[in-house]
Amino acid sequence: MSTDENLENERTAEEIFAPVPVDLKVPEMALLLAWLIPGAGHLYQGRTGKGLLFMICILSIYFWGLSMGGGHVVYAQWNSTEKRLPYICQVAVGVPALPAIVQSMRSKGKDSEPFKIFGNKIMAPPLKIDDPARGIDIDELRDWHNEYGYLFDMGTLYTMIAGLLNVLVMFDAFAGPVFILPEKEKKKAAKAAAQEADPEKTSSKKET
Amino acid sequence: MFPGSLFLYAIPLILVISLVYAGTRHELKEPILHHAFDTFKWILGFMMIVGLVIAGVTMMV
Repeated sequence: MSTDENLENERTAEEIFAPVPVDLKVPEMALLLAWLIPGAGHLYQGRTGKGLLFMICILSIYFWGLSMGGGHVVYAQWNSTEKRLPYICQVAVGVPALPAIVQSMRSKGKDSEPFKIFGNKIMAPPLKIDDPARGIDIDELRDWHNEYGYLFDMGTLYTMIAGLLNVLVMFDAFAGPVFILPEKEKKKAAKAAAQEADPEKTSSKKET
Repeated sequence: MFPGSLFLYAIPLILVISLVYAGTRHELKEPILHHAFDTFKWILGFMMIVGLVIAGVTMMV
């Protein structure tokens, strides 16, 4: 391949990764929508391809993770029994994680209990009653770990990563992409620049 | 279950992380896919090297 062809390729690579203008419409609205439903902020801005990419990627790992733990890996609990820190990450997915708050409120209520879907208290905090005097020992979290094994932790990880990825997506919807040139392309560009600066050295190397 | 099979659960995660990360760095399809592929290879390679080192150390101990 000649040097001219090389330079042509470098230019093409730089063109490929060049920043493009983006219409963010109302960024605050896009941010809110991006939080509520992953990808919705981009769809609102007319960035359909990216919106669908984010929606499919994030929601698929979120729901896959949720199903790994039988719908129990996402729950909101903040008391002396447990401070459920993973939910801070999970809630960044937006609407799909919000039922956990409703379930948490219902489980605290005296006259209410968490909603059941097909008999399963999805996203409800685990029940823990330990009363040796009456011989009652209920620990749902222990039971879930026994039932689902490592999948419970894997599901928690999947749903947490889904939430953290949506934070990136929210930033992208609010402020546009952080255009960067990949490391490999940076090296190629630097090499091309060196060739341009000293073409004799390059040609003499080729001759030898 | 073979402990290494847990790594299989990492593959969809790496794929999604690569795609979303690249998606937040570029606007058009071509650079997104290009960058995502590079990121995927990099993370997978890094994890395999670390995995092999850990496996090697475990076997020696």
